[in-house]
Amino acid sequence: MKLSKEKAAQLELELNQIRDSVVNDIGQKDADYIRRIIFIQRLCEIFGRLAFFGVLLHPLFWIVAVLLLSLSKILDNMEIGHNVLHGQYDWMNDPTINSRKFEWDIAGDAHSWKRVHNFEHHTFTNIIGKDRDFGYGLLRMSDDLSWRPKNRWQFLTFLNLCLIFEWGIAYHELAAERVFKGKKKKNRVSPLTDSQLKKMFFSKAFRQIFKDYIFYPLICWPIFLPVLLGNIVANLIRNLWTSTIIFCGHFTEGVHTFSEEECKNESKGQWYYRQVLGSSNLTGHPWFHILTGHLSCQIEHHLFPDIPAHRYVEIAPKVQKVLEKYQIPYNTGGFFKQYSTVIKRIFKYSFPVKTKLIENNR
Amino acid sequence: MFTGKVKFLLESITNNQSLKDFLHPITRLVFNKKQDAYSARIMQIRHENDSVYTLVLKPQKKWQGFQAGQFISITTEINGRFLTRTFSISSAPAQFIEDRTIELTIQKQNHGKATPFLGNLLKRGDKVSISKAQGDFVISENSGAKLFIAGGSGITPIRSLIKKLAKESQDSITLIYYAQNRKHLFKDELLTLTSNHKDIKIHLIDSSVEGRICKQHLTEYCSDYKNREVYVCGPGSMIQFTNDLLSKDLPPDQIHHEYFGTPPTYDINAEQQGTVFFEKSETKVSGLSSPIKTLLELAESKGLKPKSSCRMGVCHQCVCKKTSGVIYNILTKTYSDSGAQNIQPCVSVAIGDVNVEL
Repeated sequence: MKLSKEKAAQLELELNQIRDSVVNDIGQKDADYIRRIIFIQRLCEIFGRLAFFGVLLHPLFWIVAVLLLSLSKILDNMEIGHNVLHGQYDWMNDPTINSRKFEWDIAGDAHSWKRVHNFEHHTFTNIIGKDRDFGYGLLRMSDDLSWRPKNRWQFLTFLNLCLIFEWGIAYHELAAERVFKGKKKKNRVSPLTDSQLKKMFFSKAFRQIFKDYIFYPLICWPIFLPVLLGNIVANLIRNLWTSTIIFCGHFTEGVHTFSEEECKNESKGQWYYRQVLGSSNLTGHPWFHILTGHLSCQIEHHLFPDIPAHRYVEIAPKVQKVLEKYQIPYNTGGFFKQYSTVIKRIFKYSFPVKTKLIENNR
Repeated sequence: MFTGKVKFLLESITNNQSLKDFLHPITRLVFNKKQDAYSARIMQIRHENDSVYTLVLKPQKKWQGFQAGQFISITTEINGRFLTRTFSISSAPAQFIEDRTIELTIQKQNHGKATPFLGNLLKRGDKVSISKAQGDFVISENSGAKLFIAGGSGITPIRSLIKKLAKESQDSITLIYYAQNRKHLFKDELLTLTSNHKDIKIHLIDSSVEGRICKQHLTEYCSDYKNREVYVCGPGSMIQFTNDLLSKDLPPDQIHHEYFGTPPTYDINAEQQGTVFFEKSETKVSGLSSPIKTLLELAESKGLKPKSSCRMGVCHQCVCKKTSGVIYNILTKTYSDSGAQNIQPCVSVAIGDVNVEL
């Protein structure tokens, strides 16, 4: 599937227009929006941690505390962290809400994530061999990757990955750079040395473990166990949620993959085209969009990664209309529909089926 | 040792650089104040003429005060963006001691993003953030004859200096003040100073008639200028010109000057570039190149290795702080304003002189 040069140039123009319409309108309401979300996140965290003391009165408080803490972490990671680190709010000139200073409530270091996610994943989206987010080096999600025996039980690998997702993200760059094991890849140039990468990884990991599993349980001593357990569960809930949403963004049924060869010297229009084909959306309630950090609008996010994410919802219909005009598929659907195709995909590529066979079955 | 541990503890549990930053999203609703700054209340906005106004500010008690001739930066939020601008304090230290107020006299810049609006958007009673006073355009020794040369709104720090000296010293003071079309600021006030002091001479010069400073002006208005400490403030070109003129007769340590930042220039093409100064590496590079080079390419051409990745404005890896000057963003096709802000060097082109923290 390819887009002609002329069509790509027209597509670029039309999508740029959509981008400009938002960029020219960015201002107070976007600043107010992100501040309000951060305000809510802080309240959730503070009251979540305080609510653990409620278990002294009634066990139900434990559930309230865990839910508030999970919500805090989900907001912090998705709508705040992911989007601020993309530089979506750098224009505010705010000393803390910017992509250079922000650090999030997750095991992985923000700078490391920016290097791998913002650059590799967003520039080389779904190019096999370049975008390590495609299967995270663990899952075989298309026939472009050769089948290995370990893929047979990759559904279990997937479940495990979902539960410890934050650690997967934390370890992502170190795996890519082969810091602990494997042979160094010749084509990779890292701005950091292995020892710097290790130091950064352990420093952030230690801080997070210290915070959730040592400090807070200890200072709440009489309720050490409920707090420890609550923090573990809150992190698990966040891990499950974020991984699920992220898998729905790139691994649903219709998502395409690309080879390095076909993406050489691509124009911005062709880049846009690849971003659309490599992503899929989720439909839902405004609150659902916020909880996904507006990654439910993955297509719009991949087209314009640095405009404030809460704007994706308002431009989605315009983007869809433009894409329809060029007969480019716009992959969207409800959560359960999209998620079931992700599960299907994981199972499908667990087995060494050749592409020919699939086509014959159709 | 102990504070280091507390800092680590707070950083770990808040994922912020301090507890204050963590709580700021909540506390800002009560205190409405930027981090790491002092708040100040607007007491009065006085219009000096149609393009110049004075903000009278009362800083919070914690603010340490200032020396005559120093400047502060003031930060306000305009349409969701924090804008920071630096202005000289135009009032005398005595006024601060008396009623805890300071004055900033502000010239509206054509097409500026802050100066035309500050005076209209702010009103009496509003709170703004200010920095502590900075700058070394100050007087070390009260005694001894002084010559002040001001150009346009460059009178602001000199007003502060002269008012201080008039009160504290009886030695000779001469001011040569150039302004176009006789638009001299604080004219009446400056002239009343002469009645309370035995040796103050104020020369208000219309530069649209008499031209800019020359040897003849110096000898005519201040014949003993060679024996005076000279203080110069005004537009960059005026200071350079005056410096060249004075340094023929005076040793450099007798001449003091204060540059104002370059005003935003919106009417020039993206093709025109100035000198880029990379502050951390203390490297200067001329941006005059063909084809046009982005700030990132300029830095790399000098052997710097700033963090960068996509080189197309997508990944925000290379974001760094521009401390002054105007840049043109080739992606959004917009000009920045001239204050300090975060920029993406991979899609930024220098317009005029730019300082970057790299």
